Amino acid sequence: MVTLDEPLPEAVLALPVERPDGEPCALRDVLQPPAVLVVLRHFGCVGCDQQVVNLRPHLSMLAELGFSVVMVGNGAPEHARWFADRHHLPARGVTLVTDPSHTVHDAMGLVRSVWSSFGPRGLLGWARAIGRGYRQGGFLGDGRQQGGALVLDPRGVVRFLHRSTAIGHDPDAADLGRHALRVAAASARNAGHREIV
Amino acid sequence: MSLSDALIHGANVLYLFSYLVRDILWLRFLTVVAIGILMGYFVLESAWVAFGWNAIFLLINLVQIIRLLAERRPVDLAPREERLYQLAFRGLTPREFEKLASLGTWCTEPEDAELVTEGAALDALRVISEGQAAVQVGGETVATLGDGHFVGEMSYLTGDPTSAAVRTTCETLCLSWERDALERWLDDHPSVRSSLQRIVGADLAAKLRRAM
Repeated sequence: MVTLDEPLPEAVLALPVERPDGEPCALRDVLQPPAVLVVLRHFGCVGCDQQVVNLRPHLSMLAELGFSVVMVGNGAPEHARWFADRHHLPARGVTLVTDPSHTVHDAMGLVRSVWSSFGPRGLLGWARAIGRGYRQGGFLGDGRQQGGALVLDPRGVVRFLHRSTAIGHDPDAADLGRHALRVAAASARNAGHREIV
Repeated sequence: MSLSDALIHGANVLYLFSYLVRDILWLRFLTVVAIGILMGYFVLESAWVAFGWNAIFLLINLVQIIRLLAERRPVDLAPREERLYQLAFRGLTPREFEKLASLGTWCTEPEDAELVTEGAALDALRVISEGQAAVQVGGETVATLGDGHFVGEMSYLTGDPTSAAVRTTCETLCLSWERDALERWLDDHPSVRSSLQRIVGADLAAKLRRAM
């Protein structure tokens, strides 16, 4: 299980995922600390559309600070390709993989239930996202699965962990950014950059 | 056509136009005029309950119109604010920066003033608008900070004590924010928080690149 302020377990890093071209790989092949790992619901999810758009303005800052940004969805590789194209993820420096068997989702302890997607909070989150202009692209994966996010420091320790409990209960992009900045600042200090006060 | 009929038709034609416009200010403006005409109709009909409710709607719309006009007035940054905005805060809108700057305190520090004490907890975030400061570790200068550079952003982000002292090397104009007040304000302005994060992040990345 993934725990805050603990290193991401080797067993999690060894979990199998698939690239959008269908090539299998281990999570560690794409997740190089320091890193931001965003675990999406499924590739047609309106909440995930919103989550990616909210994160976009932070991507260049994360890249400048040396973070790799990895997104893991659940669904078929062709759905991952569609999602990556839709958000121009490769051009934005984001690596997208898919986890059709939910192993990464399960290892992160993420919620998977009908209630979380179709209960009152899920429906409200869905309606809010639609109201903000985001698009529902059909069920391109397991619609019951919820997402999450984590920030890894350069040693692979989890410094931020979010588990969504309903559609729209995404990690705030500003929260992710703040934790990434803290990690970058602490790393700079640990690396002896005392000139950065 | 009686006066009552003219009023009710006139008001509804204005409502119709208000529903057709896309600009919320024009929508509210047309609504206010329509409500005003409708209230005349209610007076003629002695419909005081409807008159009272419409008076409330009128008041709400007038308040919102005043707020919208205030938000739309041109931003008039003072010269020193304009300069700092161009130097370091172009990631914010001018209005966001105007609000952020009004939350901070401008101060002119003399030469050799200690902006940051080494090893101390920092309760403020500063940015140099004009001037220069030396970053000193054990009395030795390891870096210099100039116009548009943040001072103390690492301690602000981590909450850790400062890793170095910062002393001005000439008269230096700074804008500073008290940490708790800034955090409270940013909690209410999440989009500014995001933008400010990106600005501080870019500043941190630039300093790291220079240090390597």
